[in-house]
Formats: sequence, structure tokens, C-alpha cells
Amino acid sequence: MKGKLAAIFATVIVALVIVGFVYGAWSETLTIEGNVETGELDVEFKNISCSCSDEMTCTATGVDTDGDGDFDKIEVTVSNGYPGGKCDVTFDVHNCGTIPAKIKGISTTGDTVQVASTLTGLSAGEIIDVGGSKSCTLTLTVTSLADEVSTYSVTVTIDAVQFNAP
Amino acid sequence: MKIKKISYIAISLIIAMASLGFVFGGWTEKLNIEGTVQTGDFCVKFYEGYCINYDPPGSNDLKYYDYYNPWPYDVGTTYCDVEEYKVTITLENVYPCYQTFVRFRIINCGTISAKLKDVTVTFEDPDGLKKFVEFGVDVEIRDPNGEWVAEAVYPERWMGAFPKTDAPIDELETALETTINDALDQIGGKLPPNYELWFGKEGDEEGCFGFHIKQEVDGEIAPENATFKFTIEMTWVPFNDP
Repeated sequence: MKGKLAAIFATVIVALVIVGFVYGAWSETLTIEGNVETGELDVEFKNISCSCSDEMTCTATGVDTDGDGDFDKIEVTVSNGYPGGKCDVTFDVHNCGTIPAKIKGISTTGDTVQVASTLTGLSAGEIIDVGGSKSCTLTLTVTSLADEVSTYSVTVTIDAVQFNAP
Repeated sequence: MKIKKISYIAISLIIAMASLGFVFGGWTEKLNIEGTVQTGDFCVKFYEGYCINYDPPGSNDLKYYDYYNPWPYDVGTTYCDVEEYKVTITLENVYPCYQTFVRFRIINCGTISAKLKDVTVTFEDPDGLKKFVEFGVDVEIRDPNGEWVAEAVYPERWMGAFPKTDAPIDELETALETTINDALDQIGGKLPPNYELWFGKEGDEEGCFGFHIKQEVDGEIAPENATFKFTIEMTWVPFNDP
């Protein structure tokens, strides 16, 4: 009796294997291969120059701090400043990436009491299209609170994010 | 059971928001502008220790109309002390018709051009000597190369000895403002760094800051044993001061 059951079981398995083989022969395989290439968010400084009030001098130099081939920093050096004297640093913020860039924020730190800074031509929320640029002027003004023969530093940071960032 | 459900929802939301945040926060670019500002030096002062005095102690007195040939007497004396921010001129034991000259200079010792903002002259005249005191002033400007580039004198009219010391001392404030600004206007209205403003031109006997004691005014004779003091304050400011 035990042998009979084993025979039936084996027969069923063989039958199922045969049936399966038959259905397996008729099949379609659809494949979706996804390749995602991300874009690049990249903004840079271009066309950097500066000029000052009488008797003050300045230099403005672009620096590539991350080695990606474009300027992400401007070093400005102003000499012989005096109260009321000002220097205008002009530059373009250029979108050299592949994604529209949104200006998230602009902040200033440092000796802002002695050196006032005003950035025109760019403001938070603005979007710079790919390949587009914004002409900007940063005005550094020595205030009446600055001492003679002193050195002051200010840093203006422009934060950019991709256009769809909240 | 209800609390558990709410907890699940809250955790799910936090995870979802964190995921979103991660996605957007991942791509940012920073542009920096670093400005270093070095301020200049504003410095205008007298050239300390330099005063050419035409009647110092031990010298015979000058003649009013012919000061090249002094009197054979040393009666009056002029003292001139030039400090960085103060010049003191003292006339001692002087008399009617006494005349004296001094020469000193101001230098822009900074890095920023200066302009004259104000001149204030105050008098102390307890003995009524002031109305007998006259003056004349010659202002000259010398550039850093030693070239004389501007000149203005007060008074303009010719009277008495040279330099022209016949202006009433009451006019001193106006005279200094006028002559200094006239001279400065000849070089753009400001005294640039390393330029010097001289009261009296070096090597020129005829250009000085001179004083003369008149003998008589309105029939009144100059008082004896009298003291008269005046103070001149000059305020210089950076050229761009409004």
C-alpha cells in the first residue's frame, strides 16, 4: 500500500513537470533598464572687476576652491579706506551647470559695523537659468565707525540650490 | 490601539519629510566673496620743531620799513614753539612799530587727502592791545618733489613793509580760511598726502606770517605793559567729508 501511494505521487510530479515544461516554452520576457544620469548644479563667478572712490584702491581675484575649473570665490582687497569711501566689486553669477539654480539666500558676516556691504543685481528666490547669468555689484563702504590704520574683513555668501528646492 | 496608529503615522511622516529633505538638501552651491578692507591714515600736523623766527632771542629788532637792516638794538623778542598740534608765538617786550615774522608749516603725514574744515580764532585782550596788532600771511603749498605749486597772500593790498602786515588782527580768522582755501583750490581743493602747506615760503624772505604793532589808532597810543593773546584752531578733515 505504501508503495502504491509513492507511485501515484511520483506520477503526479512527473505529469506536473511535463505540463510545466509545456507552458514554460510559451513565455514573453519584458525588461526595463533604467539609467539615470543626474545633472549638475553649478554656479560660478565671471567677469570680476572692482573700482573705488578717490585715493582708495582695490583688487578682486577669482579663486577656484573646489578645483572644478570655475571661480566660486572672489577675494577682494581694499587699501587706504576712509569713512565714506567705497569700492564697487562687479561680477556675474553664471549658471554653468545643467539645472536651473535658485538663490536660496545671501548672507554677510564679519566686521559689518566698520564695513557696510550692499549687493545689488541678485536676491534670494531668483532663479538663474542654465547658461544664464546675473550681473551683480557688491558695494563695500567704510563706515564712520572704522578706525584708522586697521584691517577689517567681511564675507558675503551666496547660497544656490536647484530650482525646485522648497 | 488608537495611540499606536497615530505613532505609526507620525513616524512615517517624519521619515518621508526627512527623505525629501535629504533629496533637496543634497545639492547646493556656495559662492563666497571675501573682502578685506585696510583703512588709511589721516594725519595732518605741524612740522614739529620747525619755525623760522626772524627775531629770536639775541637778535636785533627788525625795522618796519626796512627789515633787511635791523636796528642796532635787541629790545623785543619773538618766541616760536612748534609742536605737532600746536604753535605758540609769543611777542615779548615789544613796542609801537615792532614787526616780526615767523615761518612754519603743516604737513599731510597720512595717506588720505585733507581739506580745511574750519578755522577758529579766539582772543584774550585784557589790556586793549588787540586793535594795535596787525598781521600779514603768505600761504604756499609744496609738493613731495619740492615744487611750489600754489600761493595765496593776505592782505592783497600793498601797505607798509613786505610781507604785508597791515591787516587788522580781527581779520585773522577770515584771512586764514581765505588764503589756505585759495591755495588749496589751486591744486584741486585738498592737501594730498606728503604735501606741505607753509606759512611763508622757504628761502623767500618776502613770504611769512608777520605781525606788526601799530603806534596809534584813532588818536590812541598803544598801551604799555599790555598782554594780548590769540589762539588759532584749524580743523582738517578727510577730503570727502561733507
